[in-house]
Amino acid sequence: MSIEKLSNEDKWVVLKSLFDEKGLVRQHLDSYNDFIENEMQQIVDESGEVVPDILNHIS
Amino acid sequence: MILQEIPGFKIKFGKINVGKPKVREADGATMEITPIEARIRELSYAADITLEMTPITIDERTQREEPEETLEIYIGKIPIMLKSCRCPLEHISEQELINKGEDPLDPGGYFIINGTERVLVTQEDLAPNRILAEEASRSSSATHQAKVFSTRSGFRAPVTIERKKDGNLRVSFPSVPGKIPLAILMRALGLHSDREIFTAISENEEIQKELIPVIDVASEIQVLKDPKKSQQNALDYIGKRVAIGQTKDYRIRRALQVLDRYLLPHIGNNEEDRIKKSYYLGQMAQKVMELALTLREPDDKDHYANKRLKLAGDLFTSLFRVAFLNLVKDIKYQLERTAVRGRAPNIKTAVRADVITERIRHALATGNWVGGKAGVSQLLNRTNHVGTLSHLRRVISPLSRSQPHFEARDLHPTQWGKICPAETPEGPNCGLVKNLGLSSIISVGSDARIIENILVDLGVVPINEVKNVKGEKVKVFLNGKLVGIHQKYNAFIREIREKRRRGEIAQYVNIGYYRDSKEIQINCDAGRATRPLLILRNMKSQITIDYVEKIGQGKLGWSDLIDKGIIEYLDAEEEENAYIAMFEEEVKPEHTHLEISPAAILGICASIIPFPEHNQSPRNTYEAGMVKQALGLFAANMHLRLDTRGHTLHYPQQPLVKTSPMEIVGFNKRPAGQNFLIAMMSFEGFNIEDAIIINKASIERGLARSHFFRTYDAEERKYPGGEVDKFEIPERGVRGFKSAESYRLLSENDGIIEPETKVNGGDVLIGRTSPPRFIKSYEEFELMQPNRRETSKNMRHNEKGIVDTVLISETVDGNKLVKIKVRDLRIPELGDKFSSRHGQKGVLGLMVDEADMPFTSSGVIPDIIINPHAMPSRMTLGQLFEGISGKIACNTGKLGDATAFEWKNITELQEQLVKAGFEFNGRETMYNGITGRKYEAGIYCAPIYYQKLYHLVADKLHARARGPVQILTRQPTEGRAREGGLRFGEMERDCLVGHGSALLLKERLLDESDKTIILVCEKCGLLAVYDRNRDKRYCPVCSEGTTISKVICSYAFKLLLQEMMSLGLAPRLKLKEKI
Repeated sequence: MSIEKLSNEDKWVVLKSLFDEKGLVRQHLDSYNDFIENEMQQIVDESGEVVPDILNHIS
Repeated sequence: MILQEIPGFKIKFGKINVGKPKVREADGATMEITPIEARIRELSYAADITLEMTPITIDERTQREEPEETLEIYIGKIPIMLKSCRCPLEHISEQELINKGEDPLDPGGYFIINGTERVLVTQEDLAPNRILAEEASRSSSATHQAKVFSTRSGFRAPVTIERKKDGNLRVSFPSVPGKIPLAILMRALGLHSDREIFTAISENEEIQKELIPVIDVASEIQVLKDPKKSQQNALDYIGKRVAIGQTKDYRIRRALQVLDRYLLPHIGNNEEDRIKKSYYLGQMAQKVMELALTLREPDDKDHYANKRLKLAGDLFTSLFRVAFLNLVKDIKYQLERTAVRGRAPNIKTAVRADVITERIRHALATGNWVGGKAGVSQLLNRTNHVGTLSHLRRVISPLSRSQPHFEARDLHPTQWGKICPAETPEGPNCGLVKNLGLSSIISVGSDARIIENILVDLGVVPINEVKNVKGEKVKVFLNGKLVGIHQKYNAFIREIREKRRRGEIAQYVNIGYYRDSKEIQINCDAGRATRPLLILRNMKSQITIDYVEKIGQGKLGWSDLIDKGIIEYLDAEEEENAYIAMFEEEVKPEHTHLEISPAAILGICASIIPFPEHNQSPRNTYEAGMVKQALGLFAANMHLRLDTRGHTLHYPQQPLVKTSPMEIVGFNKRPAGQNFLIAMMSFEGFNIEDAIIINKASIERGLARSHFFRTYDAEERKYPGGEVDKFEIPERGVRGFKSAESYRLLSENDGIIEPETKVNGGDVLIGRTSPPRFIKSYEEFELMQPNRRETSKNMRHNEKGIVDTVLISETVDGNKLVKIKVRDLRIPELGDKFSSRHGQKGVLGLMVDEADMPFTSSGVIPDIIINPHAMPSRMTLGQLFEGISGKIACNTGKLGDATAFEWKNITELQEQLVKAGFEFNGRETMYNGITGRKYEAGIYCAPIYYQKLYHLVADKLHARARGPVQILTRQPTEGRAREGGLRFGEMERDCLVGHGSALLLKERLLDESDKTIILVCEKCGLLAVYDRNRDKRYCPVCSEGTTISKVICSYAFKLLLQEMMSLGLAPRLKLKEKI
């Protein structure tokens, strides 16, 4: 597999593919998507259930 | 009556779901909204959250749970980030975006709250669960300390071990007052013999010698040969600090609770984790001892391996957690309340959705976040496209702005490739506010359990089996937690990296090996700044021309490069083990990676600068700041947007000399400047001290013309009691009625101005009347109610323009909403600020007629004349090279390329220039336009990209002779918008004192400000009153008869007297005749 030297333009073609795929604000989108799809459920599961203390409140 | 058969009841939570952005109108209808509608109508772009809840009744006798039907309950609204997974704009085509009124180049990544665009700015913080050892501050009694911010589920527990001067090691952690000697704590956690404690801390004999005082302190606790008793004693020692005055049994139980919950929670909360915690404490102690014996350097808090970036999702996590826990508490309370009333619990009524909705909305709208941080959410910068992108890629440090913090503000070598070295603000925020580099990628978290299993499979010996192992031991940590040890670490590390390159482990898992301390740190958590690098095998990168072609044709993408093991992401820790080559020619056998392009170290703003490597570095920093102030095309949908302020350049141009990252950023599609033809010479003295001279004819032909937009809005608010505002031309009887003339521009029908009407300062744009205030009190006394008040919106007093857009709509509450956008043509005038792309800013000093401008031998007349004195001290050679490159570009028709670090030799450019028929140095022979004489010297004449910055003189010009005063102090108002006065400050006062001009001072400070005459009673010295009806002056304290004198003083003084009186002090003035 012969690998010739990459010109400057070639390097930018490679870098451009990074932004074509991810866009310029990928860090915000990834983080928010992770929150909506994973973290929210985890936070709900941390509580898991609500057990009201009914018996103690009956007079 | 006691209900004995009420069953037990609980609610179980199921799946949580987030919908699509919707709005609930005043009439009850729910509709899906687009972002542009949310912006215009001041709505929030938010979606409903629903949670599956299953009510379960527990039969009291059998204790069996009987679940009832699972309901999906609405629990609140959550704002949706534009272009995120819940935003309908995420994957639609460019044309569809345009159809929905969005600019296709808008990046998304922000929220819309009440119509305003808000960014959650990335927060930079110290990494949690990492041990940092440093020398103790001079104020404490300790010599060295090690600190960990142990974090678990949002709960942050700082744990510190400090070494005192006598050699003792003491531990402090939350909820236990005071510090506990290390050995006692380790005994409480399960270690007992001296030997065990020594080995847990270190195997090094030198260190072990120093540990003797540590063991001595604990000797009173120890009971030899009875480990259980020792542990009990140790726990009791802690228990005495936590639960004073309780029984020994209770104390011990409480101590165990505290140890489980508050000591190093990131390791675990359970009994089996206790021994792990003691080993971890041993780790920390080892670090402190090594630091004390100078076997290791103090940890660098600014090393990027020790930093984590908290992005929008992380911020939302902490916010939502708090809001959700509040909701759970509230549901519990509501259920208990309905049960007390004897009614059956009903989930739908128990859940109040406002709790969550309001909590989240308030935090996003104000920027005040849980945990006390302020300024987390900011109004998105829409001055120009680059400013918007830069705002979304900003990183902000929580350190205080007022402290120097020299080390934190410095550029750290580990920031290479991750943080832009040039883009940082000048002033108090310098170095604390940073911007991400072009190719920075922030890691996304992966499941640590999966990684842990893989580690064990690869030969990591778990910590509890370590005792039996002999030979070389290297500790393996995962996210700061000790997993175990490994014996053949080299092969292990290589295998992990190969697995990652093959795709068997997530891309963001990074591994770093520390030879000195024999540690392997593996990280898979979120928030690490990483960057992509080409992997070198046998001195060659794996990327071929073939690949590049396929990428160009769209057949291969970035993910393919990652999956094929050609490129990988390295964070700051793994970078320490890598040897990265900058250019392909420089690769040596020892190199492990190759930079893709060194120009990617720059951020978005600095990537606009041509030839930045030829400028003095601060100039690049200034330009990175000014690019965000340049006028251009900020959004393609600007005619649909109604921003409070906006600017648009009439004829934006792409630069003749561009950089490769510009295309990525989209600068060429949303340019913010024009190519000006420059002549660099002194001219008539009008371009001294960075002023610039512009050709008047160029301005008349439209150079640097822009429009300024301002939006005014008003709403027909509803008041309690049924009263409502109304848009109309106010009648004569209305309170505050201005002259009939002021309302001349309003339409008869609705009191709103028509588009394309010329308006000036003070003209009424929206006529509106409001009901009188305090209706109730008038009703009580049966007095005649005053008329309605006039609350029209008028134009700012020093602005003028033409009404561009009138929008009539309805807010979410059902109130009529009117927004008026006024545009003003801004032709360049004296005082407007311009700048090149090299930090060469200047203000327009003179507009010269074309006939008087210098001209070249071929008859070309420059647009702008800049002073050559701007060059020597600033050393912005990038500007000169940009000019030469631009000249060549004009000649050959091919845009110049000035990407950083790519261009090799000036002679190349010079040869091209000569070939084009110009002089090699860019100079031309020019003739004086006024006299016609040839200038002796050759004058540098070239096209350079110039930006018009939004500091326009029309927005700043301000004058006041007399004008409005403040109500409280009766002093002139402050600020241009309120027609204020300019402050004659302390230093100015000092100048007048220095001149000895006392009366001038008095005039400035008294006569022209708040001079008043007050009445003072001679007897009691307090303020007297003047009764207008009886035309009498008297003192309210001393009744009639006392002498009342007039005193001239400032109103602020009279205010001071009254403020003191309100405190209960009697400031009595003793008067004397003026001599």
